[in-house]
Amino acid sequence: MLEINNLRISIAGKTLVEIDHLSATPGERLGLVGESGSGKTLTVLSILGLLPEMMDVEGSITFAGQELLGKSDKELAKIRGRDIAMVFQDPSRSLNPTMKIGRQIGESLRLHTDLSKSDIKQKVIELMHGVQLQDPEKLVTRYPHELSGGQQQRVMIAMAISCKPSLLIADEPTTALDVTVQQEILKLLLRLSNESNMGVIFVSHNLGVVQAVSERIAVMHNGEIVELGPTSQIIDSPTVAYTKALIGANPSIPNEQELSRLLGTRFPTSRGE
Amino acid sequence: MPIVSANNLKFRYASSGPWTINDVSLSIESGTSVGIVGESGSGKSTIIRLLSGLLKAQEGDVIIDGKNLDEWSKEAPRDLRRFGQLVFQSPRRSFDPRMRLGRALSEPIRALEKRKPNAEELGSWMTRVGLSPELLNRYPHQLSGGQLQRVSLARAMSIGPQVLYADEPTSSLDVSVQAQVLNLLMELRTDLGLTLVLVSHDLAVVGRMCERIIVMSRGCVVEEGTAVDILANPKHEYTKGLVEAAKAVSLKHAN
Repeated sequence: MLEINNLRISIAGKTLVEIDHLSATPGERLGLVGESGSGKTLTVLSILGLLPEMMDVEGSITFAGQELLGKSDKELAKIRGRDIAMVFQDPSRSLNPTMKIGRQIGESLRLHTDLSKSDIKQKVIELMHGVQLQDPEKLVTRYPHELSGGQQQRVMIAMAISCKPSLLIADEPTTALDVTVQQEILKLLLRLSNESNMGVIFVSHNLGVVQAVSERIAVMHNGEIVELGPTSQIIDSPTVAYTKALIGANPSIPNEQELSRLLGTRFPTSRGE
Repeated sequence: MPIVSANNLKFRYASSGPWTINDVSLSIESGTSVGIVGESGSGKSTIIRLLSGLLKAQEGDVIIDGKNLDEWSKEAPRDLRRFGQLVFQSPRRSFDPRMRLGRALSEPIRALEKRKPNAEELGSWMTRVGLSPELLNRYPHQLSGGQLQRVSLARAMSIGPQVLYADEPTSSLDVSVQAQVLNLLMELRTDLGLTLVLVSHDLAVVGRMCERIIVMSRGCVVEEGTAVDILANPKHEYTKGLVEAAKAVSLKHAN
């Protein structure tokens, strides 16, 4: 469905991202992990032609057989939101603060479909139910600042899935959220992906979060993909030193045995029991 | 005897607003490493500002080393600052952008010990936190986030505090840098015999860094215990939900 070949993103002749090949099949959930500056966000922005103008992009990005690189803004606008949608890290900065929630969710439908006003209204309520927003009839008239971070991210997801895209790009969608809300949003993305066979490219620096949603993981470092494989293989038997270091640096929650050992060695003064 | 304790603390930011801290009592034993966890808005950052004397509670008492916080403030405000130091989440916002790091690092010694530390003393603190003394001539924007957080640790340590309050000290850092800063924090704690109070939303970090954990929700302490009690056998519904969610999004290995 998506195929990236010989992609090179550069600025003033300096290469920022260089990817020989990366592809995703329909309905596949692909994780893109790496640290700040590894090029993961630039990579996904280039798919939708959202890179700053000062950056040069070469190579090929095809989606459902059509080449995306070199398309005009007008042509890309038809694809954005309809075929490929995106959810960003900070929902409070991605929503229009002066527009009511209902209108924002319906925006893609107004742009990409011929639905009547009342049908759109109905569809917006359905979408809000779909992302488990409580009391959608009331929420549609609210402004973004009246919602919590988790609710705002649900609104972003409702907007993104409104035209049933075949690919959803989620760039650190849960990083700004509390852990319990994070878990709910991940469950929601998984369910939506399964229900409509929607492919997901999930970008995050957090390996645990990526592991929870992805079938395959691509590890990025210094603008290149250093390792790519099924999630279990990357997490449990990484071959590249950088991946190993990244996994080592991602702390997991220690189990009871480990905790007892830590209490014994690290905290010999502990009045534990 | 606990090194810091709070009795029935109540605090709110606006005089008629809701209580941000609502009847919290807790005690922290000397030399221990205590984690305070909870979600945004639970009051975890506010409580360490109250315990360190940065904020004053409307009701209740804070007892530091056997003496009431009010007495400390009146009689020995400088000693109070020296006793408990804080390190914040964003190292960038913890430094004056126009002040060279050498000067920034010397500020607590100038203010609390009324003397000018020499280059050698400042350099040794830089070395202690794994940085080159040459960086002392730089400005904050010339260092990475991880390097800056090391300098803020050095700055906090330079006046020999008994208690270090660290408020999400690694949340703004990349995961590999996070591990390095946490290891440094652990090392300093052991070497200097510090009491560490670590505020974090990250249960994996707290589980590895702290022997005791205090769980806060909506301004109250809902559960308190050893790291094993809280992470392996949580009792309160809120803690159970928090631990379950954290496990769901934390890295899992097949074996």
